[in-house]
Amino acid sequence: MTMLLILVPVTLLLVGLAVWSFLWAADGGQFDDLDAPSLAPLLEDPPTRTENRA
Amino acid sequence: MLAAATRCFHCGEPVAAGGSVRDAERAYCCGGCAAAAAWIAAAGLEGYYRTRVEPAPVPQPPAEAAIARWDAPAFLAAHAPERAGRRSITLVVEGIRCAACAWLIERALAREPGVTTVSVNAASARLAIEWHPATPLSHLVELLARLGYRAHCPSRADARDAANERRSSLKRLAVAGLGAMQAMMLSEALYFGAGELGSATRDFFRWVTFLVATPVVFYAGWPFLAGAWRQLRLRAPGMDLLVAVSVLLAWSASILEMFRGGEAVYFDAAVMFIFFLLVARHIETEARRRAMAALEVLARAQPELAQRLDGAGAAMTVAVDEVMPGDRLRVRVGEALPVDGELMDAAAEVDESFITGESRAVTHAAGDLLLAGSIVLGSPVEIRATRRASESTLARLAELAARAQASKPRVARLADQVAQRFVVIMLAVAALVGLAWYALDAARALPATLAVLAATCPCALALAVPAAVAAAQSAFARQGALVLDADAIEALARVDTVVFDKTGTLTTGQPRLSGVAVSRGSRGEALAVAAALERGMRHPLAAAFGAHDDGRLVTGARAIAGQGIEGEIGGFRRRIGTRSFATGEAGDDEGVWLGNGRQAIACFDFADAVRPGASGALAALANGGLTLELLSGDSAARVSSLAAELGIRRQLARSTPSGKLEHVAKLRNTGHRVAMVGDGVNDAAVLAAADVGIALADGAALAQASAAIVVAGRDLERLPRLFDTARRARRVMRQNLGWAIAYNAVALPLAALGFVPPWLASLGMAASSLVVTLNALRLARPAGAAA
Repeated sequence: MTMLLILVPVTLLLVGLAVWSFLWAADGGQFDDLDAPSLAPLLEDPPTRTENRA
Repeated sequence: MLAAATRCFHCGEPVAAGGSVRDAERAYCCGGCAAAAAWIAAAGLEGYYRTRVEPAPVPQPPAEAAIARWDAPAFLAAHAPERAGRRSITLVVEGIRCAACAWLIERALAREPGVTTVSVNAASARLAIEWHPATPLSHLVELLARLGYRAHCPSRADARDAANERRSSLKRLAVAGLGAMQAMMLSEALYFGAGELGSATRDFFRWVTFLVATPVVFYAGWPFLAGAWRQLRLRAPGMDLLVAVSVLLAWSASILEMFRGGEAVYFDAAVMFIFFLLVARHIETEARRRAMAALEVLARAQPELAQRLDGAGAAMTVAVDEVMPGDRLRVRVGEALPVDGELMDAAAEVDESFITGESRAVTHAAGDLLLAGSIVLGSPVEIRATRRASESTLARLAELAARAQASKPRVARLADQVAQRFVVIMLAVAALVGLAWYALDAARALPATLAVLAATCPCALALAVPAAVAAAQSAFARQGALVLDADAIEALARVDTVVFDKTGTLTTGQPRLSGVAVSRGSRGEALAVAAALERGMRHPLAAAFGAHDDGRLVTGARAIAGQGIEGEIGGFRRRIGTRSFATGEAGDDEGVWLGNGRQAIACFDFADAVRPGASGALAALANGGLTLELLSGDSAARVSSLAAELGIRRQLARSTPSGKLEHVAKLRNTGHRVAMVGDGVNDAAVLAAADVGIALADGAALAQASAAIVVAGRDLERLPRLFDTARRARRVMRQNLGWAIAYNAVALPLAALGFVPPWLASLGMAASSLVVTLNALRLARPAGAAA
């Protein structure tokens, strides 16, 4: 059972990591729009990108 | 502590010597606290100070500059123009999460002097308020701030706030979800391995669960705790209070058990309750957001900047509020028109899909009125502004849309009140159950009490109707209909008789002159006089004369309802309208007559085409079991021929506006539920007299139409679908209410008798909220897919 003393804190660490990365992603706006980005590759290049290339 | 005497009466902060605010017997640290305390005292809620267990948070009034903004004349003119001695505005209020908040705000604002009506919709977090201009709006906004609610004017800044709100909701959801999984996992071990585990291992597991559960309770559960605190402070018990009580009870009792080494801990129940509630709430919020998106589009269609041209033709970018009538503006291809304006170029192509819902190019000629929000296609256009941005058709539409969102049906208000009382009763029942079990079997007292609190949370009851209304609004919006009065959905579903106004509704409303019989003078002269009299009238006949208008002067022109128009031209009195009105003669009433009041000058005949699709739409309505009637001010012969063509059996010709009103009133008195379909401008009174008024209007007329339901575009084929949607909405509302009531009725005894463990009760409560929300969402799908 002493194994638990190591494994349980490791689990907590992993959960903490998962929570932190989710909060980081949410703050970065990853989940702000869940509909449009999935269509983006199907649309034609927006004009701004053409300008950037030029 | 010695300092007790010099602490703020309201918030408990130490009062700085000399810098304090005092009244007769109390000291306050700051003006904010003094004001909050004064308000609570004035509102008769002083008992709060005797019953509170913790000091109040320091009220944080918004900055001076932010408050002053609400009273700025430009702001008021743009967002709350004065009408008939009153101003009205719709605000987005941050912090409204449930019916109790809505109730509280309504009660708090309604008692302010100068406030005439307050209506809060918890589902859309909208506050519609009408007040006397003598009361500054900032005063009301400040009062909201003191209660802990922040008001915003619906604008682009709100989109950012909404995004932030959504982010924080997602973050709380993630913390709760991961926490709930961990807590469940550890609790499983405790439940199933309890026998074999030594007490040291058991306590270790309990401590870890405690570590996982605490952030969930206080971070993820914060909205509930904060809401409960506010409800407690203002003695308006609501759902948040119920949730907070059960969560905190489970959490603190578990800590106690943990230290005592007692039988069981309930961290898992607390955490799962929060998680399930957050899931239900998140789905409901998303559904609401999606449902309302269609309406929000209107508000966003108007750009914020405009290109104004000076005398030399040079363009300058100005804020859209600065554009005055008469200004020349240039609008580039792909951009939306900032204001309503007259086209100065020879021709232009625009997309008016924001009004018609159909994305196609509409060609306009010089002098045509272009509407703000139309997208310019083809080539850039130049317009002359005819109205300020705040008065544009689009602004008015956005205002209508906002009002539609703020409208709350009677059923929802009733459900709110029931849910309100339910919470108080449930807290009492939970306490009784706890005591009873404590007497019988002390070990089961806590889980049974927790189960009662969780299982009977009237969340589903409070969501049942608002969710259905939001989804129905969205379904209507997709069909091009704005529901301005939420009661209209219910009323429309009960209608058995549909009364149509003829001109402009069943017919194209653009009559063409088909014949002129002149009794004196020349044909051209008669036409010019008629055109001059009809000039400026909104009646469809006026347009038919338009081409013959030679611009002669009319003085004292006035319209006499149901009769015609009278005016003076070249020193002679002229009348146009019904035969008896215009010529003073009796007899055949066919056509429109021009005369001087005693003798006829000319008689005009018109041809008016039936709208394409009218007969199909009417047949569909009749098949749906509705009785159709036709009302018209037109002659008997015309009305009956139209009725025969469309298969309408009952008709009433030559009816005056008051006659139409009487007829509708008579129908209603004989037990019929009447929907009146008209254009909303000429027949607004009759529409208002019916159970439901439906206005079919397009373009600029749309903004002036007054009816419970305004349909954009004059497409009659939409009508059967509207009735269908309303009936489905009513069915969904009934199912939802029935489900919510049945769920609570079944769950309560089971939980009270101890058959339901707390975690299952949480699941049941969340599931019933989800069922209600998802059921309502069926409405938002197109009719075909929902079968």
